[in-house]
Amino acid sequence: MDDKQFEKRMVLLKKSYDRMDTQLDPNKVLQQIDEEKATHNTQVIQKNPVKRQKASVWLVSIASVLLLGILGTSYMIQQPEELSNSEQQIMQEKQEEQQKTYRDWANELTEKYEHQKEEIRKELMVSLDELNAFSYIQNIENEFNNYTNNRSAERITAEMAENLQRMEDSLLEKLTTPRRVFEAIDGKKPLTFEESYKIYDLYEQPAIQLESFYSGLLEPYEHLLKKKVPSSQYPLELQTIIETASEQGMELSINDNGSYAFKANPINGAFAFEEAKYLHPDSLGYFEYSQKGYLVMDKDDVRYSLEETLEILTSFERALLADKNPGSRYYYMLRDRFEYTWTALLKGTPKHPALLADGTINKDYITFLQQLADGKHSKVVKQIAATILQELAQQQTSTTRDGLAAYDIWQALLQAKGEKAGFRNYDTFHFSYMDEAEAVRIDKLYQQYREGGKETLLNQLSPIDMVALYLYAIMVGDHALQQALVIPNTVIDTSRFNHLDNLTAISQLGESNVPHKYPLVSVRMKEDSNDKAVIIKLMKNNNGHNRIIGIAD
Amino acid sequence: MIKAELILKAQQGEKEAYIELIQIHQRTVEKFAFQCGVHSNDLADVSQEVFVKLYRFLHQFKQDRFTTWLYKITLNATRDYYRKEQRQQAKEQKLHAQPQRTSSSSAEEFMLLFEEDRLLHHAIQALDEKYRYPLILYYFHELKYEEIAEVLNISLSTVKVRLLRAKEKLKVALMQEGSVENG
Repeated sequence: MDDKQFEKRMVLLKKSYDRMDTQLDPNKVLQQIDEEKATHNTQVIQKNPVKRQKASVWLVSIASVLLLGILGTSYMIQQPEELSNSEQQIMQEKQEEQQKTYRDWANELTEKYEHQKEEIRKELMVSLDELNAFSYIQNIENEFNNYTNNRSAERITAEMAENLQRMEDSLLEKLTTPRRVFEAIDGKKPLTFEESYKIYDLYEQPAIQLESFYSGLLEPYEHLLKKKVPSSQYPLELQTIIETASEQGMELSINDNGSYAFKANPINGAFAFEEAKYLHPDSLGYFEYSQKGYLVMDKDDVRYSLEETLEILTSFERALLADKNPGSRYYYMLRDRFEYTWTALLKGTPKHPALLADGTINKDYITFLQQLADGKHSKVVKQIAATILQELAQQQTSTTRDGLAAYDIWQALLQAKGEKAGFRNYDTFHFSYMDEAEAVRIDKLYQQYREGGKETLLNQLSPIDMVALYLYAIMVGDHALQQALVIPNTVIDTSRFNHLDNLTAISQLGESNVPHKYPLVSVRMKEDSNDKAVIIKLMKNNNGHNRIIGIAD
Repeated sequence: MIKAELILKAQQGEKEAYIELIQIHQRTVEKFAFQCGVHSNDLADVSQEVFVKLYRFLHQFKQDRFTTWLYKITLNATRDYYRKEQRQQAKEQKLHAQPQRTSSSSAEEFMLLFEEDRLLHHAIQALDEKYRYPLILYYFHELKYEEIAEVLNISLSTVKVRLLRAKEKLKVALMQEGSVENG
């Protein structure tokens, strides 16, 4: 039999099959469905609670392991518990298909991810090791590994096509650079506050870490930069560094220590991004926060001129009043700086004192208060300024001023926002749970340090990662690293960390008000079944990089 | 009403939509079940089982994959049917020493009018299921290789290889049968 004959016979048979009469009565199908529903309802009422509990525990454990709550588990819950062979087979096949879909997706994601990462590496002019040392890249890498490891595929259970796309988009949008974040703004219409906030959220960490990295690269050229020779005469390497940093919106400037450093200024700087004009004006306070850094420096004095400080605070206030999400990390950071700076200004600073050396009230301070009471510069502190002014006029002294604390500014802010109660729990953001993945990440950080990352790597660490690495150094007994992570001549009572094997979480608490320039990191450990926290303080070393200064009691 | 709308409405619990959906697909289901080996007398029951199961899982179906799922469910229903049949035959063998399937050929005659078709149908039934299913889906349901791979949960290359071998085996079977008949 040749192919042609074979095909012809198959066609004829197909025609015979197609002529078959149907036998099924659709109404009988519905009748059976109704009968089964009635039976199922009765069974559900009589179900064994133990089975249900087991299913719930299983679902919870899967969800917690995968951290993929969005994938949902309603499918399992809705199914009858007693399944026929065919149903089991269907479910098994469905699971297998879901796993296959997931693996295909993970493979495609891997390709896209690696490609995008390589593009970023080239754009930033860094080696792969240098790129991997950035903590924002490590966080993304962790997320990526969670998605692409085999365990994730095996545990995937529910309808997920839409969620996979969402997970992919969310992951890849974070694998970015400051320039890319802005270039992603399409410019068809001005962004809303929320959209602008999202831009800041994506921008902040890459910008801060790259700033620090490129600034570190300037070190060998410090003497050359100080000579102020024309930039065209700089060595090619230096020119490349400056050009690469400028492409990320960074300007070369002199920091508080008198050293050359890069400062990102994506909105108003010489290398500002064109797309910045689409940002919502109320959101600019966040970018200002990132660009200006601390507003109050040593000895409680303002870092910038009073006028400039007030302008910055105005932009902060606009952001704080516009932001409808006061539980967010950035809101807290901005609010913290706003509160602290206003507290310092209203109490009087060394450059702008409330009282003169002879104890009399400074006239400039009164003028300043009057401007505030008139509503100039701030809606939030207007009433506080008016009260202090009134008290000073009546009694030559002000209990409001004397007792003023960040808490009062916060209350005034709540009032200005029309809110009666707010959220002031420092521990609710920027957590780093010490699970297996986190431990692996810190171990990797340590290996990078050992392999030669040394000082540069430490300088790039976020306060949380710095503390995590410090704790790691205690655990492995690496005294050299412990010393490298603390401010010279600082003694830290490491016995406070005797329960490190029961470490549960590390969280950044923002920056301490007193003294104001210390980032604070809380280390939570289980001790005798109680959760205890040790607060670690950090401060800038002589080179402007965070290092541990002690434990806050 | 287009199929997508029907599925959506059926998903939302509209019985009329589900009946219409059954009417559109029942011929495919019955045909596929018969081709997979379900006895013609049992086709209504197996198809009914398919649509009852389909209803249970309806809320999960993506519209673009509906047909694929329908084939999968039918395939599973026919496998269940086979298992029951085998159990039944085993019981009957114990009771009567011979299986009681006397109505088989007459029923098939009713379904397939031509002897040539019945021979080919039998030859296909005699193939191992790993060759039988791709062949049926390819020739009688005109599914693409990719769709067959999805229904049977095998790779594209496996589909191609199995189809090729199915054809070879079927040709050999038909030639042998022809030679027996002729001889």
